[in-house]
Amino acid sequence: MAVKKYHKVLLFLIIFLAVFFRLFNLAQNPPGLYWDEAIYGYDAYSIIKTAHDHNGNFMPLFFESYGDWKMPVYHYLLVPPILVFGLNEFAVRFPSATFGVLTVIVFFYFVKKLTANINLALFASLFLAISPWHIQFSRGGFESNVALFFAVFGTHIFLRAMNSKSTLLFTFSFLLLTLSMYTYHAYRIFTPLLVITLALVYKQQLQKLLKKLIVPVLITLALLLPLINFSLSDEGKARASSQSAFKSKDIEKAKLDFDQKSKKPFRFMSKYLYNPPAYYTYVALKAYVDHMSPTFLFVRGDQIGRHSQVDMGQIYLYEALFLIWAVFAFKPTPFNREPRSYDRSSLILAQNSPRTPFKESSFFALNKLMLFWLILAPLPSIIVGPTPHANRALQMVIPLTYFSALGAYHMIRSKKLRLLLVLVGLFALYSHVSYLHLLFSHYPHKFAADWQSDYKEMVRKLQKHQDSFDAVYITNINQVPYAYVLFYQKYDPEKYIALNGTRDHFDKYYFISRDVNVYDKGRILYIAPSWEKVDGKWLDAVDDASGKHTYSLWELGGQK
Amino acid sequence: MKKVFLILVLLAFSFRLWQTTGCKNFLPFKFDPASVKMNVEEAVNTDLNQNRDISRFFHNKASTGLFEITKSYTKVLDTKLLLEILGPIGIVLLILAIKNTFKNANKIVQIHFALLLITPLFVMVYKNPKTAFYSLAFILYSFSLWGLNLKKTNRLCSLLFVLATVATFWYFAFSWQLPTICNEIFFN
Repeated sequence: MAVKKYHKVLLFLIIFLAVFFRLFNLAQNPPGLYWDEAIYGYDAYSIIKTAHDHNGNFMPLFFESYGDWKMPVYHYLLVPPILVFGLNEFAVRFPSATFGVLTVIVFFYFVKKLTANINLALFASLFLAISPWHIQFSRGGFESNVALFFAVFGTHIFLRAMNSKSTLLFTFSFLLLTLSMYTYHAYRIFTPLLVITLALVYKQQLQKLLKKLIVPVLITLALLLPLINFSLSDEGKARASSQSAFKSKDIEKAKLDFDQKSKKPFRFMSKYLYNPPAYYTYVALKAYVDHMSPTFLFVRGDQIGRHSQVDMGQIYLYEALFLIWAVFAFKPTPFNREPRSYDRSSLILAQNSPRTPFKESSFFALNKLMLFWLILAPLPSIIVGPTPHANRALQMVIPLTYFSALGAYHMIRSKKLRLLLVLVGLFALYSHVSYLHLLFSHYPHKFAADWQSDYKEMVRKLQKHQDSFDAVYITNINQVPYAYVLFYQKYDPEKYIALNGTRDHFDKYYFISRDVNVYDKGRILYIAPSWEKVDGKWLDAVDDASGKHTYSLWELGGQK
Repeated sequence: MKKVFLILVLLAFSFRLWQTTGCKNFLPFKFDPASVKMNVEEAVNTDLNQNRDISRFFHNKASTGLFEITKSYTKVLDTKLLLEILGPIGIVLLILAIKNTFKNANKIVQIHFALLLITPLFVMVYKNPKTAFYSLAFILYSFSLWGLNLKKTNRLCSLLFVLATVATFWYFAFSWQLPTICNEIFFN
């Protein structure tokens, strides 16, 4: 009983850590709203006000966003927080942060149920709670993080359903896995592969439950029809096409290079070598290896500032040691067998493995599942560039965390390694505190530009000056300022839709490229990039979160 | 059968080494101690309005030095670089060789493995990048050959082995520019 209480306290502390790291100072850090977050928030706001998205589509199943199409779940999840907290940064990030915390909790029960080892489950949830990779994506309005929750929860329920042989649970599990596919593009590839993996790992058990699966599978297929239809349409392929890693012009370029510079005896081979299947396989292999690179994982993460701290890996350096150790703990052997702390009452699938002692088969099956999960996780991110991509490969965090926990747990159990463990423990503590320093002290300044932190200030200044102008011209040099003008002004969506607003113009706002002549528009307010030389009356300056001057407000046409 | 495997693997490795002869400018693996000082200064300057002692606790030569050395070390043993040097078959053999190291208590294999782990440290201090590369390639090629020490070889295993070797030649043909090894490669 005392042990149970102790475990509960530890779990509570882990959840507290998960909440703190994901929700503390959420509105201010990351330092600004990324344009996807801004438009998700405004679309949800528009749904609340008009039941249409900002493009005027009634309760859409797929949301158009900057020429691309987004999955719907995150948009609809934003409705309750925006109703409660209003249209602001906190509300837009709230679902991701909340689902991040929920993933930590579900992961605890997932590992506990499969290994029946509460200590290992606590380790796994602790490692996920403090994972830099998971925290990074929980603190931004990233759909990938919510999709990850659905994938983990769906898998957990699937395994419970196998144990209880419940059609209802199978249906619920498939519903969750389907939701993951409706949440983020990468899961259109990853989730089906995960389901195939589950079917392979638990083949024996599932063969006896085929009848129980008919109804859930039929319901899932019905639910997936719109997604399949969408995936086959031009809209569904838009993202993959625009950022595809497989471009025919690259083959031509590579072939030409080979013809001119490669070893002479082999130059004749180019016509046989450089065909699309062979070349694309090579590109995909390189992209895949990028995601397994120790440099990416341990020392220099994704180089996009929104996706990592950049100055450290996607996971902690000390986890490398635990991951290596996990290899020795992978197979149930006398060395890693757990004799005491298994809670036999909570073991699942016992009856399905008559030959092997159950606890080992279940534990080994989980290890196999996690290994396959890790192998499959980078696949969605190899078809589009750039790589490695921490967002599209976020699902890697689950098996990596599990194996880190497994390695740590088994190291702790080894008496010979006590001294090493103390040193690693100190290093781990220092690494984690350093990470928090990077996250809360460096990150808001260093990556202000990656998060377009200047747009909030720009709209504030715009509101200060705009009343005395009939037209406002804003440079679109940083992509999509219209989303921020809508978001931060809480512009009436009904009016925007009625005016047939676009990303180039609505109401009195014009979003212009550099080649537009701003001097023949009469008296206007012009928001220009800070470095542009403008012949007008300077009104105000806009700085980003790092204090860098990024925009200037000018009065044009009225000063003479 | 093992002899055939050995010949195929040696052919693949030799082909790779032959390809490197076109490299005019090998990429350096050298660890630059100046980067430690620079990174510390840069990080301290990022700490706006932060107590200097706190800042120094997180950004000091010891922790940054350890991190930078690890960074250089992992760069030498990065999967991309390993794939570039060894190719798919070499990677498979390397994994099997590591497995052999721990499974069989053969001292020679274990010493060889220890050398493999130590070599990147020397590679990090070599001034000549060409010497550094060939030292690394030598230890990787020689160690991966322990992977051929298979106890059982069935038809499927042989077939997979041959396929992996073919894939290696295919991979080497595509990555003839050795992007993680060489700065500039051309053959006149």
